[in-house]
Amino acid sequence: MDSVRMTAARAAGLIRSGDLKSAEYLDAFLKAISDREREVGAFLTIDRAAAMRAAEETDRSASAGKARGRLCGVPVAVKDNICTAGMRTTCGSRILENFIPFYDAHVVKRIREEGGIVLGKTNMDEFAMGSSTENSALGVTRNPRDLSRVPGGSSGGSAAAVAAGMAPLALGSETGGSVRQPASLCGVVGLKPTYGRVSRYGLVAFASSLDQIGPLAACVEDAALLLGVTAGRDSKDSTSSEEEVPDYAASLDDPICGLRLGVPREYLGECLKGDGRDSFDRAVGLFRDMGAEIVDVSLPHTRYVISTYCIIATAEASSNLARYDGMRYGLRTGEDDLEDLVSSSRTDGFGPEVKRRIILGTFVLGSGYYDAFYLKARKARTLIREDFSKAFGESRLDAMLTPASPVPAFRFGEKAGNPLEMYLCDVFTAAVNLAGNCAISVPSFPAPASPPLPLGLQIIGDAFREQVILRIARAFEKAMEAKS
Amino acid sequence: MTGWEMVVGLEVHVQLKTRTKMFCGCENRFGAPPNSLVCPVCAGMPGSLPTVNRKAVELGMMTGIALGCRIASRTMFDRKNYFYPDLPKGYQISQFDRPLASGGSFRFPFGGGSMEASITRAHLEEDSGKNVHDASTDGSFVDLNRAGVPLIEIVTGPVFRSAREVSAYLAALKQLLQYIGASDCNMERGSLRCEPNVSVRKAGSTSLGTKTEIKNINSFKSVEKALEYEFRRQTEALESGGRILQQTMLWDDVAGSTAPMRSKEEAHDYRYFPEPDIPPLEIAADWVERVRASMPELPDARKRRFVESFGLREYDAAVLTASRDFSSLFEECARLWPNRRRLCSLFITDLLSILADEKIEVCDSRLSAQSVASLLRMEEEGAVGKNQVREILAELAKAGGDPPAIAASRGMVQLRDEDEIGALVTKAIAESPESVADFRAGRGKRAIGFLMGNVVRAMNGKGDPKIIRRLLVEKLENQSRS
Repeated sequence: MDSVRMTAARAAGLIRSGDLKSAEYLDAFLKAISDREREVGAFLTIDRAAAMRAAEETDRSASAGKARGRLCGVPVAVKDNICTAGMRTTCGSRILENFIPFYDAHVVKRIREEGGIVLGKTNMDEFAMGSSTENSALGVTRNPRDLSRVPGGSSGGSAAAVAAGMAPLALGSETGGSVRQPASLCGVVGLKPTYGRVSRYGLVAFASSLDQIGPLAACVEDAALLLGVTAGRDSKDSTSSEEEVPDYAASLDDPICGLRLGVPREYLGECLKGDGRDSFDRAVGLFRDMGAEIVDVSLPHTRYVISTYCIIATAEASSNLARYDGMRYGLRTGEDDLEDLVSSSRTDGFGPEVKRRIILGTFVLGSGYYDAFYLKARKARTLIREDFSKAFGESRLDAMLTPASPVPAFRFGEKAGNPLEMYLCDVFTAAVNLAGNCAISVPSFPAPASPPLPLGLQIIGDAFREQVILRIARAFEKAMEAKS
Repeated sequence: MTGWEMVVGLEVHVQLKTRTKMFCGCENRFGAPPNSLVCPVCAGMPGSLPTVNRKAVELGMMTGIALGCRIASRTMFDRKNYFYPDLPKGYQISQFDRPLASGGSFRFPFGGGSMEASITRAHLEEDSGKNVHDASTDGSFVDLNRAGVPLIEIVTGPVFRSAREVSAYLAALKQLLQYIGASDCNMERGSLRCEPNVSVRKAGSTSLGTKTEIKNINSFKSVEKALEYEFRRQTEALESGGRILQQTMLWDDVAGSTAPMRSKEEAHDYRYFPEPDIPPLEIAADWVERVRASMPELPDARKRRFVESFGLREYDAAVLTASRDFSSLFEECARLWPNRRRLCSLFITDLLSILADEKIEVCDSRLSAQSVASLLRMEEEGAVGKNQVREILAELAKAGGDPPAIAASRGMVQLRDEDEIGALVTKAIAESPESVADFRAGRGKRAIGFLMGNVVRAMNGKGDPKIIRRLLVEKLENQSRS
């Protein structure tokens, strides 16, 4: 059995029934880690021994006929901004380099309850601020498809771990595209659930009204599996939804013939050129071949997405990151007096991108600027949200198709000097975070290069219609497999 | 400094008496060992999220209703951002432009009559922790037990014209909040904190002067002192040609004066914005109605009821209903003891001063209605005299117990020696011929009452009243016959 290529859903079933040893399954990934982690650098923390102990425990339960759970014996890599009890959770930052939470995030608790095994913590842009993982203060992650290129970000470590076969499943987090964009660049599946679908309890906040935890996997079926495990109401997160969680696997292979798929014309403008455009056009053609109805739609406020996103995300971040003051946990430098302690801890602890965003966010909330920036951005956000609800409502769309990223993986340093250009990596994804609905990135036609560079197709769904986009993504995945 | 008028508006912070904190499940309790009532949420650990305490919202609603406010149908929480070691998240969750309650007015007794204060708003927020400075190690520590304790901030308009008005308002507010069970309003423990905004103007003027805000007032007694001081400071400054700076003043209780806070500490831009972790709270009309229906009797209503159903005087009823616990105890006793007059005097003359002397709160006392009734029964039966009643009552308040047992253990045995009592009775009758005349004239009750008093006093309350009465009647009847 080729463990690494088997779906996690199948592996869990085989482990439950005792037909596959969890330890054996885990070992395949640990081997991949031994082979590739040195060059890829997806992880910040790996606890092989604890993972192996958990796997052996699962195997003992299985032989007693007591193994349970949808993730029975399956290892999961977790982005390092999601709290894991007893395992350090750094957010890719010096300021939390040695922070060990004493509680599990809700999603981690759910993974453990379903028999999953936390394999380790993955690298990320510091506090999830970035689109290349280059902003991590604690390590470099390379794109497993081409080591000279970035894996995308901010969940670059999670995407790279799955792409390199070092973990069957991973959790990432999104604020403006941080799951879908690295999934696109690494050639894996990444899903951003509807805001409120997955509890944020234990996710270290970047921008609370945009943040959402999402699964990354090698295939759509596994992304659906991990979403199903993590989704649902959590009383500890007031913004989590009561909406029932459907059985995502059940409708995965339903036909998509006759579905109405919108293509927002604003996404086909000048920011989409060359290889990205070709890949997207071919993907749309494939859907036509499958009998889907392709509909031209408009999201008229698209041009305000990046500025709106920047203002809201930085405003909330400036407040969310205020707690890192060196008082209770995390890095503490400077002891002269109170002010010295706080300012020196923050000066030494945060990297340049984080500081840039804290300063920007503080500015847009400041008295005299609030109305012109923050308040206006909130109004723009309402208009952007209405764009989507109109498109889904009036045009009776089942989903929308867009590229997940304008360009394939770029080289290290290529955009690092230009923050604005880096922000534009989120141009196709951030609107969905602002609107609050769901979207998935699924591997599409790669950009021709040697080796070919992955590009993702984004399928955007209405709020709480994850099962629809998963089904469409699965159909696309099958059509792509048939092509190759 | 005649010709100047003080203008004061009040911001009062009150800790709500909930079982748990505002946004987490930690216990809301005063006096626990430092940092023993703390969890990831109130410690501001990364990844933690607040959830609203429904009970705190309901106590806030009750407060708003009792103060005649409108309860918002949709209310929101906001973040108030600033750095301080006792503020674990770097922001306080408060309410900015959508407070829970607004637009009320509160009538309270003042100077024999009453006055009304307009209530601008009442909003919910969380308390901060406490910085503790340890002189022995010269170290500073933070205790987060208080962090996240629910607060309601009650803001009045600039309606007060004297420190006495402010005191009267605070006393009435405290009484009201205790009645509805919203808070214990203990200023010394910090469960009620008051920050007056003070300005002065020429009497007769209708415009407002520049105000200062006074912080750090830690007792009811200090409120008037701080206001008087600040009033004097401002008028003196203006009279000598100076001007008032809008700033925060810190009250120094020891020095008895106010001094400006360092301007750096108050130069805050709080950058309020809507709290994204808490969805807006929709308050349906029927929720408000349920809360309104569940509200306990307010002080005024209870006072009226005491007058009407117990036949008490207005003044006595006001004294009895000053605190909810005190009046509730009275009411329980009244159910067991029909002589409300005696009960009333026992409560007002004896119990109030016992509680004050011993510094006991009614709720902490060991008194029960049963023990009070049992005590009054002993008195009625003549087993104890008035002084002994008071002594036993004090013991009941401090330690509880059974009145007959207390009387026995303290050797409060009534003197029953009929020869001794008889001699005193004879003496009393001899000293009061007018009583004998009264008795003969058919005014026996009056004669016996007067003579009883004299004998009881002569025996320091230790004589058994039943024996005294029997001997008095016997001797008076003998004399009348002869």
